[in-house]
Amino acid sequence: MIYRSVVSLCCNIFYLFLILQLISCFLNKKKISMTWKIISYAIWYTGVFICSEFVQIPLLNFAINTLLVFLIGMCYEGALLYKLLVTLLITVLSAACDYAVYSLLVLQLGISDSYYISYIFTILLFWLIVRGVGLFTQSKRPYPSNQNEIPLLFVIPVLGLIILYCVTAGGIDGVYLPIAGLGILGICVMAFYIQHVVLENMSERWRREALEKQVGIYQHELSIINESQRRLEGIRHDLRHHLIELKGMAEDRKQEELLAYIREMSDDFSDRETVVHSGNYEIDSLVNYLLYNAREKLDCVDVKVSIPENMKVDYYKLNIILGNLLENAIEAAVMSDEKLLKLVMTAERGMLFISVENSYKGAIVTGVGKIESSKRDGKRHGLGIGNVQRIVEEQNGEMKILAEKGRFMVHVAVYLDKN
Amino acid sequence: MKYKVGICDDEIITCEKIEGMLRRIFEKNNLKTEISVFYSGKTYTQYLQKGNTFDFSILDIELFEMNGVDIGKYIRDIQKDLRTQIIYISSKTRYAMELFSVQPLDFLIKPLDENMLEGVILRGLQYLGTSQEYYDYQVGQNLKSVSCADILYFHSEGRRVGIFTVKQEDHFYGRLTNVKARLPAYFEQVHKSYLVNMNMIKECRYEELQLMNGSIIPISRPYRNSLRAKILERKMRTGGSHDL
Repeated sequence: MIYRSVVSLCCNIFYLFLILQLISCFLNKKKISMTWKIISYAIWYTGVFICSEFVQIPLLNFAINTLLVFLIGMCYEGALLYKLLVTLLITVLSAACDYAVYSLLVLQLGISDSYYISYIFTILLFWLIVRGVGLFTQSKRPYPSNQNEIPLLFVIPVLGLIILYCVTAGGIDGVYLPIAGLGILGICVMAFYIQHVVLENMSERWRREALEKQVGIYQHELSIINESQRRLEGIRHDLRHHLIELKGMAEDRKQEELLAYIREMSDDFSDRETVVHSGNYEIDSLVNYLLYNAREKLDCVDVKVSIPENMKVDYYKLNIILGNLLENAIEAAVMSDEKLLKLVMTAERGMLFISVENSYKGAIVTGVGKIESSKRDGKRHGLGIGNVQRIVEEQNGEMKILAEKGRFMVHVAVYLDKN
Repeated sequence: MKYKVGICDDEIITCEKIEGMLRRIFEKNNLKTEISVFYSGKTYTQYLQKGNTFDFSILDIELFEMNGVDIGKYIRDIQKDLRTQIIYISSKTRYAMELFSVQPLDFLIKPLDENMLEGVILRGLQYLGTSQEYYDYQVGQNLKSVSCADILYFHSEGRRVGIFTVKQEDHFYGRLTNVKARLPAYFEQVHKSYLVNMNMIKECRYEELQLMNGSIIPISRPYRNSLRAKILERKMRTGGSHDL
């Protein structure tokens, strides 16, 4: 009896570790103190032990276990319903493992369970399952998965559990029991593999859309360049004529007319459509493209970009960051009263600083690290600021967000590559 | 205190315009200034060779024989003047990465806008204004005093602390924590044994800093993220947008 308890206690430590691994496949850790985490682990540990020793009704056992895992899930970020589904999944998987192993070893093969051997094998099987699920859910995809689709996936393990219950309640005997258990496990694992494939396809599609958008941006830039080329050709052609005019006006001391003439010529020189000409085509084209429309819709668009040509930075990631920040800012500014947008980009001392400021209307509630916007439609707008933050952090960069007095400011700093 | 400004541009009219703007800016802010104008890089560097320095150096990037980068390098590497605030002006909107190696304060496009110039000058004054503070330490019986703006970094070597300035290095008995307490806010600890003057950074990287004299200071792991946050905060405070 004591031996069983010892085995159970040791296995449970490993069991806890596996549960934590499995949870982290689906949820992100919350930033809370270690004490809270340890308290939840301790409650889980004692709860599981008491449950396995004293609670004999399987359904009650299952319910309590789900509750205990859910308690650990509270240390992670995510919507409540999503967390409930994840915990349900974990308990189903572990129950299915338990079931498969127990029915195979004890009921089928007749191995005596006095040394609690089946529990050890259950944990080992669970470990394999966790590894398998981990492989499918942890590949680094460039874009985050849409969490709306994942709950559908959990229907499968829940159905599996129902089937398992029916199999036992229905009194099926013999080798069919472990086969049923293993079969259910197989279905669950396959379900995750399918999810993985679907998400890979989704991210491929997203990448293609991003590329198509980039092509559109380049086209726009090219048309701007073409237009200014054409205008310059015109001026150069007429230059001799212009100089004669200017000389004439200067000789006659017609200062007002002279200035007006020069002003008109300067207007022709300046590219109204371009806002930025840093020499970095990636950045120039993106900013010009986004701000071209912005200037029509907004009252004040203030841009200062001081970056050198051939700046060494990850343009792909930078475009995602800059593009998303600007799009969000423009959208919010358009809906505000002040209609103001400011962009400052400076490169200095080995770092690139980006600062996007916009006026906004409505409430921005900064929850625990979350930013709520007043966008009501359910569609996903770009990536959302949380994901921009994630990408910035992946680049070893820093991001700060400030919202006060009707102005929303995002500041980003990333390191430039050496040489 | 009189701020010395050197302007170097081969276009006479541009120089006159800038001089006018500067006089108005300094007057508006109740500050005294002494402005020197040069029409070539050669005359500018010759003047510096005689031991003169400027608080602000306004340099045209495209000069006739010697371009703005060369003058910048002369100032920083040969004259070893790490204090002067270099402002580059140009008629082009594009410039090379090279210009950054001299840590300019900003780049302005001709024709200059007076408000923008004022913003840049005010920012520069923030960096310069720090020369009023001094750090005192004792070596043996002597009390020594160094201008904080000249200090590059402190390095703790056991019970002693090494103080490294632009011109020299010295050592005294002390602990880094005590040293930091008596320094202005722009000194940050980046390593258990290093305390750095943030205004003297030439290049920031995640794991190390390169200072203007070429020294490489490591940033230890516990300090990396917080230092990065502080750098961003400093940048956010000093700004760099139009309306300063």
